Amino acid sequence: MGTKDFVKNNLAYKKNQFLRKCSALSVVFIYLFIGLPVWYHLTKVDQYELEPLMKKEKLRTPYLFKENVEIDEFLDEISVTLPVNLNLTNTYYKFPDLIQSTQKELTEMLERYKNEYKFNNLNLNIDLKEAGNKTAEHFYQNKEYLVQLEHTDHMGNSISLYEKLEIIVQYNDESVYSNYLPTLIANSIVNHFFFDKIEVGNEFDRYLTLENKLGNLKYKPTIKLAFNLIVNKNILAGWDLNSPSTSSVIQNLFAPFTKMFEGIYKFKVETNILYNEDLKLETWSGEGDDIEELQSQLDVSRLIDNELGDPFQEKLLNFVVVLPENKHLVSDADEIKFLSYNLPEWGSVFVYRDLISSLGSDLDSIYLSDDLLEPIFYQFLKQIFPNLAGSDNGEEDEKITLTITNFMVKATLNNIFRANKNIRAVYDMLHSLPVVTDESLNEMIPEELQPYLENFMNKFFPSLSIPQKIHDQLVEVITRRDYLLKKLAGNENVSSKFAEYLHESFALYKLSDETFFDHEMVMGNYKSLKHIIAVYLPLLGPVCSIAVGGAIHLLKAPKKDPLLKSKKQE
Amino acid sequence: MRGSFLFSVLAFLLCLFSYFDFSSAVANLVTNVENLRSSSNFEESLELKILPTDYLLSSFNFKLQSDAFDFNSSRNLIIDSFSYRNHNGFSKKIEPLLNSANVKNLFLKFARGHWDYSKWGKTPKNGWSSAGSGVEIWALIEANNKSDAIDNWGILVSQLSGMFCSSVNFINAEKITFPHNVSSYMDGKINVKALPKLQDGNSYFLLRGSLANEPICTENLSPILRFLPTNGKVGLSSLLDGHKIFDSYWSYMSIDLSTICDDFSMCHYDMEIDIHFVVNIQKSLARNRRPSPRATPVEELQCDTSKKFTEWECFPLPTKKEYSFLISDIFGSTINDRSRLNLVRNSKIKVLGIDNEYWNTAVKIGEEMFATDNHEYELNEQQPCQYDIYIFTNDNSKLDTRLIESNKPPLYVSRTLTGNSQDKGGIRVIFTNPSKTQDAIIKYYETLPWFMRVYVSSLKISSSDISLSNEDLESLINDKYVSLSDIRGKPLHLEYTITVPKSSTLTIHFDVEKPLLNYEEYPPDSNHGFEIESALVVVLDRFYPNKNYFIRTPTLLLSLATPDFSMPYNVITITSTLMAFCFGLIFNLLTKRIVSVEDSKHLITEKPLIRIVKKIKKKFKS
Repeated sequence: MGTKDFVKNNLAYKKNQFLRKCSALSVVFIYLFIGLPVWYHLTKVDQYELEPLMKKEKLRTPYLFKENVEIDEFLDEISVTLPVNLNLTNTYYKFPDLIQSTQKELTEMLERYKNEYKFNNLNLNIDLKEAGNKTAEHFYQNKEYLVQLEHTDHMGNSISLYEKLEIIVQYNDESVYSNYLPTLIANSIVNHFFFDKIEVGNEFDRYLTLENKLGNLKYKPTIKLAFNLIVNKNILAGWDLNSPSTSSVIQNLFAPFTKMFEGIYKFKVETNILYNEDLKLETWSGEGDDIEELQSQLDVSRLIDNELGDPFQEKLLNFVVVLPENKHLVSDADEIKFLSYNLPEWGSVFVYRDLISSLGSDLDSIYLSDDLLEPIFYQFLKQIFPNLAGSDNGEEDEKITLTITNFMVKATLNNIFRANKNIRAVYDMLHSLPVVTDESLNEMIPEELQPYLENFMNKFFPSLSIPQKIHDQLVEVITRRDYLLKKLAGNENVSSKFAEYLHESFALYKLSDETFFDHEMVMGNYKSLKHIIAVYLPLLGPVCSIAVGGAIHLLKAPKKDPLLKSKKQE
Repeated sequence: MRGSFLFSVLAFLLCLFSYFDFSSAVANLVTNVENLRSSSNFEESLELKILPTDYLLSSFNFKLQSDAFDFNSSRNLIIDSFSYRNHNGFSKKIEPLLNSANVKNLFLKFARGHWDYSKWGKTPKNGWSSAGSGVEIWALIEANNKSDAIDNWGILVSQLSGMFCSSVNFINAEKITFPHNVSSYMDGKINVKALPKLQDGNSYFLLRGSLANEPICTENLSPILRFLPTNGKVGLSSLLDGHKIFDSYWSYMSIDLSTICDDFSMCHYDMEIDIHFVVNIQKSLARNRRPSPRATPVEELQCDTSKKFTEWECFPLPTKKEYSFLISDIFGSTINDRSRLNLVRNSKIKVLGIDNEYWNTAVKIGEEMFATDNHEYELNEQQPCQYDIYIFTNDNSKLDTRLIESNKPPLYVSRTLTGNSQDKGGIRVIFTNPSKTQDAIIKYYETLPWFMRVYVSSLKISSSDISLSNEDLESLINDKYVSLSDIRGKPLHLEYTITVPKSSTLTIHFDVEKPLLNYEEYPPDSNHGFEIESALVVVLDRFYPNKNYFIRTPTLLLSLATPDFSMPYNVITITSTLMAFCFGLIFNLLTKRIVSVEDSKHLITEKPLIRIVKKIKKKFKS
């Protein structure tokens, strides 16, 4: 082979080599810059990192991230400011600095109470305002706290918390001269509006009424009342509740009752008459007065009418009058006509004790008039009041308006607490799910090594990703919650705003619930990157290895033609 | 003002609290009130029809009506701070069921078993009260567009499936159709003038869907009985026993719900419940007498005298000619009292289809029996008592021929699948008009699932009347409406108006392609086949459209080619291998150098050790 041929062949080799490299690199190029983006686009799930948001939240509300957070810990970090109006017009003396000095007394007293009685957790502030020229009627109507001053020859106070929120502080000259009046007013406000004695324990101990039963509240904006008449007899029945416009029970008892909860609840009433239904009482041989026996016998599940309401928004309460045919229940003439049985959170059942059949064999129909219904309906309303107002039994007798006003604040706080729980639940789900998902793996690993596995998993998969929509909702929940908390703590509250806060807090809780239970989120978690890789890698592997391997091989190829070289050597 | 009102009210409450001592309530019930309204205007009736060859068709009918309510004021009576709604014995389940899906009329039908058209004649209520074996639903839905209507349908069926023991939620967009010629099906069923006023931009959509051969269990009777104020305990409903109904030859239950409004938007709901079932009288009685199969005792043996009959030889008749029974023997219980929940109309029982000369009936009240000429009985005893119906015949073959004649179906239909191939086949429908005087004009309503790909253009028509030319035959189809199926979207929907000439048989045939479905679309028992719902055929009455006669064909069982279910894994493996192979080949062609075999020897690189040994050897040699 001559030198000329060698050069020519080598040039051809180089040209060939260049083309081969180009084609290999173009395949790799297409693979990397077209194939991979297309593959990613086709398979990706819309995801958004929650980690930064949760980290921020963890710093701001650390109690959320403790194990089994209780409502006390939550309340510890919450401040609520409640306005109290002091009427200084037409007073015997003029008090230019009474507001300021009483405010100071109030602040000190609240602080002392909080330190002294450790079980009170909420940071309560009382914002004392001058009533100005507004009439007392105005405050009664708006259910606002009002303190009136009355000059007498003694010191004391008179309280009206049933139909309004008013304390009349009686003072004498001595209290003014000794500058005891601010303490007297502050004492009256704190001890009668906001704190109460503890029934069991030290008689000086005081608890904050706003915290009473706060954790047990489950506010729902609509109350559905089912009034059912149950007749276990083949006769036509009726009652005055079928004519609401003329029924005295509805007009004189029920309508005022619903007025008390105006702005808090919407009431929906449904009445029905169920025939030939005995609720298992027909065969009952138990003692007539034994409520426990009645409870074990009564089958109220038969009343569940499969109503297709919204259980998230609606609370169902039942008023049931049962007319069974059971001779064991028959009472003497002077005994009570109805056995009453209250099911907490469900409603009341009133069982008629006389036999309908004893009224005559030609009986075609019976009718329950208002006279018969009024006492039992009143008892029903009394029984459901604590349920609706989140109070203890008996509390409502003296302090209906105060109980309802307190309820608005309590329910608002409870809604925020429940929304917090949902935020925490989202956090828990995202952080513990990788470990939960690999539970099968957990079983294979000794128990003592499992914490290491958990750490490893959390490190490797710090959190699962969530769809953008959920992220936005979560941000909204947190923003709205913080805004509401700010308003609760602010000094511009008036009592009438608390109904508004209540509905806002419920909307917030609802949104948090929707966020946690979002279908897309639950499904989205499982379509993680792992899933995509697992599905597509087997297909990509062989193709990928050939392309990459081939390209590397070509790039490493010698610059001179090895064939020519070996021929030349020969 | 508001405050003072509240105070007076609260003060009243306080007074009440102090006044009412619960134990002091001495008021009593008021009895026999004259102006008390009937409970949901409840009415009930029972028809017992003796069918040829000892079959008994029991037809229960219950009618209910809700109290009137104002449709415009959120469907409730608003009083100040609360809303108020009376139901007065009408089930509370109905209103939320209809409202949640914006349904105005709902027709729900459950059917099971076989109806023998040739012997028993028309199905009850002119066929409207019937369904192909399985579940059938018609719903009139108010919606903005078709898509909304389908969404509402989804809400409706998911609620119905929770209410009843059947999988009606499977009747989804893939199975529902929008009837084209609504009046042919709904004349007399939906009162258009009485429908509530539409909201802005909305329209009414009629939807129909069915589920073939859905098992109907006893649990479907319980919710229906719960709708009745008698609760299945008194009146005619006390006869109803799920085991007896579902142990019958043919059973059918339907609920028709309608919203009826007047010009002032005052509306009420009408509910009509029909329960029909067919039992064999003699077999039911025999089962009562002898729960386990045993030979008929001699004294009960009735011999066929037309065959050899001696003192020692007897060919037993297939059924007895003479027998008597009480309906409690068939139903398992007597009627417990009359329904007293309607003071206007008493419960009625009627025995039909019998020849008065050979049959007797009576009502048994307590221990006494009372008979009437027309075999109609009203339950009206003032005192509570047990009722029963006694039926006697001395020749069971003597039935009311006039009724049998008038009850003959105007058309017979049969529908079958043809062809044995796994990928192709056909569907053949045969219409037989037995009338010698009248042509029958029918609506043929076919719904076929998307995976049964029918070639509509392959329609072939033939007739038993050979004098008809092809043009004549084609002209028999007067009107065609075809809505083609969408794959995994909606079914094929055909509505043809066909004239079936008198005394003739008309056959139509379509070619069908059977595709392979996606892996996950096969049910667990895919080799069983796919149930295809019945076709609906409506014989149109020229003069009285509300008397149109409805026929449902039997359901079909379509067998599709089923794949080897390990196939997806094989496919993945083979595809991956093929892709790697093809790609590797092309890649090699593009990037590798082609040299001759001789040249390739030069390119063989030797192992480094051999190369060193060779070099050393070379040096030694030199």
